[in-house]
Formats: sequence, C-alpha cells, structure tokens
Amino acid sequence: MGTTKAKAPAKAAAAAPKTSRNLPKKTFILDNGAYNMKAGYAPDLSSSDVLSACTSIPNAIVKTRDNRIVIGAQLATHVTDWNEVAFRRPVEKGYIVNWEAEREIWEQSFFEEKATARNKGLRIGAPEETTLVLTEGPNTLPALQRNTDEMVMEEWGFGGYARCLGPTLNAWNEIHSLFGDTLTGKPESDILPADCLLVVDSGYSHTTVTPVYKGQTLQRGVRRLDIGGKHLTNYLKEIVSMRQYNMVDETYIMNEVKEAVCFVSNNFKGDMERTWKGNRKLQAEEGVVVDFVLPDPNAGKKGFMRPHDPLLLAKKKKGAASGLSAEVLSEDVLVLGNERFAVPELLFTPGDIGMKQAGVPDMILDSLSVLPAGLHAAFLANVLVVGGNAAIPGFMERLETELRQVASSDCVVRVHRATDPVRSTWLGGVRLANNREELGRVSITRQEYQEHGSGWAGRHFAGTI
Amino acid sequence: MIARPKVFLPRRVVTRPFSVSRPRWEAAALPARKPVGAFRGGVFGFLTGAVVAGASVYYYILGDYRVANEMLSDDIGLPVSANRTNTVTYQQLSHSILGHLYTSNPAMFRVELLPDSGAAAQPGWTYVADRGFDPSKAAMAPTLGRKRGIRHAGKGGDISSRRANAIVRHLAELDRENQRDVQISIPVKQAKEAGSRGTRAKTTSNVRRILQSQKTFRNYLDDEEAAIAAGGGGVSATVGGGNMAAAAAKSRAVAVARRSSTPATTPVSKKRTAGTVTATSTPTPAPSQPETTDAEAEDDDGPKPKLIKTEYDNDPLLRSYAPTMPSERIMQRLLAEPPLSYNASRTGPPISARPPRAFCCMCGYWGKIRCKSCHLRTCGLDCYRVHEESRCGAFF
Repeated sequence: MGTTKAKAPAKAAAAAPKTSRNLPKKTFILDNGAYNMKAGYAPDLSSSDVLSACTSIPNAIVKTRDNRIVIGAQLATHVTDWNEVAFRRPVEKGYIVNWEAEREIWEQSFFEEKATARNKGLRIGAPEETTLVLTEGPNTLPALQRNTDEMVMEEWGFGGYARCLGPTLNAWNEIHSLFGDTLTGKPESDILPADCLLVVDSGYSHTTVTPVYKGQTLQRGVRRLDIGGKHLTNYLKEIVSMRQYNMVDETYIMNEVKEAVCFVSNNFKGDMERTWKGNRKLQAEEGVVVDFVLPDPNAGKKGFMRPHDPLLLAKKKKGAASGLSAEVLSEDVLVLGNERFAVPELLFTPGDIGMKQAGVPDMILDSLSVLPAGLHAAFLANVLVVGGNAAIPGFMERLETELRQVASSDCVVRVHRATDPVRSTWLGGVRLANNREELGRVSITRQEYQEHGSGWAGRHFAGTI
Repeated sequence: MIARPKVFLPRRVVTRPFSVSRPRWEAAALPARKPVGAFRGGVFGFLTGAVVAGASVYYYILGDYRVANEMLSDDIGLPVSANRTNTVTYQQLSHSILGHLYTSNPAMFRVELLPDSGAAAQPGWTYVADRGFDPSKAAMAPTLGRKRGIRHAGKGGDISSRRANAIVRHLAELDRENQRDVQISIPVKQAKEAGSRGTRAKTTSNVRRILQSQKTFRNYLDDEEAAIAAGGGGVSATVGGGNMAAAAAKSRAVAVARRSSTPATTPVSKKRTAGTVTATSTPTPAPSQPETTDAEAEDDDGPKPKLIKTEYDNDPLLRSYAPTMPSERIMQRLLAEPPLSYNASRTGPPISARPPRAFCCMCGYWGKIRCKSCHLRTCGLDCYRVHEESRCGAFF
C-alpha cells in the first residue's frame, strides 16, 4: 500500500484540512439495493458485532390484494397475505431511477419520526450532521448520478456525502483472513483495501464483475450480465405456471420458493437424468425432487419444503378414505424436479433462454482480457462473490470448477463467498468510514456542494478532480 | 383510239430497259484495270490479316475477361447481373487488355464499382461484412426503437427472426416486476405530516424537476445513447463520461499496444526482481499470494524473502515466463479511465461456443423433438401429445 500512501499526500494535503474540519463525525452507510436497502450508522469497529447495526429494508412500495399500499420498512409487519401483491421498485436495472418513490421510502425508513419510531437506530435526525455513504451500481448513467447527487444534497442536505461504487467497497473488508492469507507485519489497526480483488456481485437486477485495484475500480474491466435474482424468480414463476399452477401473479411467493429449493447443479446432465419422470425409482432414491407446500394465509401458515412423496397425489384423490388429515388434504403442493437447478443455471448458461451473453465464469475472463496480463494471476487468486445469488447452494463450487477450467493453468484460482454476501458491501462501507483520511478524500461536504454545484460533485466522484 | 394505248403500254414497259439503258452502259468508260503488284498485295494482305487477327484476339479476350469478371464478382459478393458487368469502365477494360497483351501488370483485374443509379435492391444473396460482436445488439431489450428493435432482432444471427423475436419478448417478460401493469401511486400525505419537513429548507427547483420526472430507465438510456452518438454532448460530457464508447475502443487499442510493450518499457532491474519473486512463488503448488508478495516486494524493504544466488539464475531454461506486474504508471492510467457506457459494459457472447441446449417445454427434460407448427421442443411423445392437444397455439 505504499503506493497509495505515496500518492495520497499530494491529494490529502490539499483535501485534508478542508474536509476533516467540516465532515460530520457520524456516518450513515446506505447500500441501496434494488430489492433490499442495507442501512445503518457505521459503528466503531471495536464493537463485537458490527453487522447488528445493519438493517435490511425492502426497497419497494407494495400494493396488496385488498388494495392497501404499504411502504418499505412496514412490509415486514403490515403485510401478512402475500398473495397477488404487486411491487413498485424505484430502482430499475440496478440504478435509482424513480426518485418520487425512492424519496417516499427513504422518508418512511430514515426521516419521519412516527414511521421510524420502531427502529430508532436508523433515524437520521439531523442530516446536516451526518455523512452519507451511498452505493451505486457500476456504469450508472451520468444523468442518474446527477439526479442522485442533487436529491441527496438539496432535498435532505447531508453534511457530508460520498457516492461509491458498491462492489468496490468490498475491498475494504477483511479479505486476507477470508482467503486464508497470513499477513506478516501488517498492523490490524491499519484499515486498508485489498490490493487486487475481483468482485462478482450477483444481485437482484444483474450480475456484475468488477476488478478492484487498491480500492479503486479498473473501469475498463467492469462487465455486466443482465441476469439477476429477479429474472430467476420470473423464470421459475413462468415454468411453474406452465407446468403446474398458475402463479404468474405470485412474485413474492415464487421468490420464497426459489430461495427454498433452488440450487446450482454441479452435474447438470446427471441431475437431469435423475429427475426424469421415466425413472421414478431413481427419483425417489436420489431425492432431487421435492414438494413445496404453498403458504396458506388463511390458516396463517408459511410455505415449506419437504421430500417428494410420489403417492401423495393418489392418496389425495381417495380423499378422506386414505387416512390423511384434513390439513394435508387442503394444502397445495408444487412438485419441483429439474426446475430446482434449471433456473439458477441461467447464471452460468444464459444461452438456455436464448440470451447471447456469457455466463459468470466466461464473464470473468472477458473482464480480465482487457487488463494487463500481469494482473490476471492476482485477480484470479482473489475472486470474491457477493450479492444474494451467492447464497444459492452450489453456486460457489460450480463457479470455482468452471473458472478453473477456463482460466490459464498457470494461475491459482480461489473463489470465496463473503461471510455475509448480502451485507458485505455495507460492511465494507463501515470499514471505509472508520478510515477517516480515506473517507475525507472521497466525500464532499455540504459547503463544497453549495459552492460548486452538482456538476462539480459528479466530477469529484468520477475522480476527475 | 381508246383501245390502242391500253395495248401499247405494256409493250413499251417491257422493251424499255434494254433500249434505254444500253447506250448509257456503253458510254460509261471504266478505267482499264491494272494488274495488282506483288508488293502492294502483300501490304494489303498483311494489314487485313493483322486486323482480323487483332479483332479475334480482342473478342476472345473480351469473352475471357467477362468470365473472369463474373467469377471475381462472385467472390467479392456482388450480385451478379448484367448491370454490374457493364459498370466496369471501358477505359479499364482496354487497360486490362493492354495488360494482357503487352505488360505483366499485376493489377490486371481492377474492378471498381461505380455508384449505381438504379438503387433498387436486387434479388439474390450477398455477403455482408461481419463487424464482430456488438454488445449493444445483444441487449436484454432491444436498444433501438421498440418496433425497429423487434423487427431487426433476428438480423445477422443464425436463428430465424421469428425465433429471435420470441426470445426478445421472453427476456422482456423476465425483466418485469409484475406480470400485469399496475399503477401504484404514493399515498397522499396528511397536511400535518406534510408539515413535518420542519427545519429543512424548501424544495429546490432541481428536486422538483427530479421528483416530477416520469422517465424510466429506458428513457434515460435512450438519451445517453443519443448523446454518445452525437459525439458525447449533454450530461455525460459534464461528468467526464462523454463519448465513452469511442474512448474505450481507442484506449483498448492503446492497451493492446501497451501490453505488448510492457516488458520492454519496465526497467531491467525491477523486472528481474519481480521475475525472480514470481519464479519462486507463483508456479509452486502451494497456494501463493501474488498480490501480497508483489506488494511487499514493492513497499517494505524489511521482510523480503532472501533468495540464494546461484550460477543458474540466468539459465534461459529456468527463467520464469510469468508476465510481470504492470508498472505503477500504467496502473495509474488504467485507474484514471472513465467508466464504460451502459451498453459497452455488457458482457459478450460465451468464449467456449457450446451447442445450445433445448429443453422440453412440458417437463423440462431434454427437448428431443420439435413441434412442427410452433417449434417448441418436447422430450418425447407423451409430452408432445399434451402439448399438441392443449398448448400448441402456433403463435410465434
């Protein structure tokens, strides 16, 4: 890290006196995902459980079946019947587009006294005394960036503000201990980003690959696959609607089903044969096929998964004579066989739905191909996977296997999932916030914004000033 | 008197030619023909012979030239037609013939296309230049106008446009939040709550503009594309991301050149240390940490691993061919690059071109047979029968 230090004084000398004077002490980290916002004040790193300060809030406005409109944080408490709910999300394709809705959600979650009474830890009482660290997706359109800056600084007037590239923040986490590297002679108190880190961020809207070098993005290597959790859910919904029940309006429920049953197959052909309806014997033995019992809002029951019972349908037909309880007879069951692994397979072979894009392993190589060859080994040895899709079972094994196959044999390939893939970016933000010098360098103050305007702010965050 | 001229007339007609022309014939005195001399005959004979030979050679070569020209235009992909052959100028034609006859001009068949006034497209097939993969064409949703995008979606691919349309529609379907179009408006606030802005300043004009904007991502992307196409004006230029596609293409070209020249530009001593460090660390089977070794080699001088010097250090067989880390100057330039545009950052087609897989539309097993009317796949006759009875509406 000597190089950053060597370079920093020139910039820090100019920036440090100005920013350190005015930048508010409290820092609020907001990882504004399309599905969930991960938000919270940055705690001191010495506290035992840093992640407890992070709260996930659905970033959506919901209309329930009985035409009630529920916003953001209230979803967890105010909605019990998830049938036929419709979503309105301010974040489109991974970028904040609709500020009308986003403002409403932020107000309800962080600013209004009444709405935030339940969770006081999230309330931003005085924005002018708070520094906001806000994440954005890679390759955000400049017009949208400008909108964001203007809203943050003019509507709420934060005292300090830093707009960071989400995946980049992951480099501030304890990467070395995650990858099992033993570091010699590096003091723990020194919070510095990892030197080379390739962040694979598979979220709700898309999957991106970002090469991060010493905490900064190598922009030319950023690649995006337009498949995310949303597409997987919709695909599962479509398949199930075609084959079993009509679930086209049940986005939320199908998302639950996806999270419960889906896995990434490491032997696609083999799993396919195992779930073929032709060999029922094998089906029963291997246990790939499962039943998912759909939630019953009237009885207040949640959905759950259980092993497939091939005789269940026949028994149900017999009705009460079969000796099944009324509870079992009334439940609706989805039988999920090859859907379980054919859906997440899209992340690895988008060609299955006719998309002309490469899967995640090929995308990593595509990203590396535009970088100097000397960096390839360093990046391939430090692949970090974050985002909700990283939690799909088998994802990491498959990614490592396929990446090993396509990567050069000279390179060591190490693929790791962040300890908490969803909140990893937020945690990285916390660690950045604890490095006051670096935070002062990347952020702007309210006064500076008022002096120079949003165009200047955009250039500052783009690194051209 | 009346009958006499009737009889007389034919007689005069018959007799007239001999009686009238004869004296003239005899009167016309032809010059006496001299016998042709051997010398003059030789000259005439040679000239006529040369002309005949020249003409025949000319036509033979002309025919030859036409055949060759047709073959050539086949090769370069012009639609072969009578029009096209005529577009070769006469001058060039004679040039080439001269080339045939006298010189060994290498550019003999120099075919040049003149601008064709008859602009109507001609039937048949033509070669189309393959400009490689354009990531913006493989979009989740078509990037052109909606209709045009759908119409042109199948162009340039190996799938029918119908199939391509179906795929584009399917992808757009997967990208939706809700199955149906739902308008969810934000609940109107009570007057008391609205007053809770409290200490905050009034909304500025920027904020009002942003809040009232009903633009979707599609609109913003279209604006961005238009700005890039117009040479990087508009908002993007102010943030420093203008004309990003062009800049990226240029910098990519620069990078290729730069990469190839990297070993030459790095100082020799540094290269040697880096080379030896990687030689010891990288190819060893134990998982090494190139990034840490490199970092340590660069910053801290203290705990550097000691290397034992031997005489084999410079042995070409033992030299490491691992690429060296780029220099700090290169890294700074790479880090200073502006972000790619939204479309340029989309990933390309897969490197390993595996054959596309098809699945049964009923049960999800391998799609082995294809429905003749709707082109969906099924795994076997069981599924096909169900498909045919209930679900096969040949709608795409």
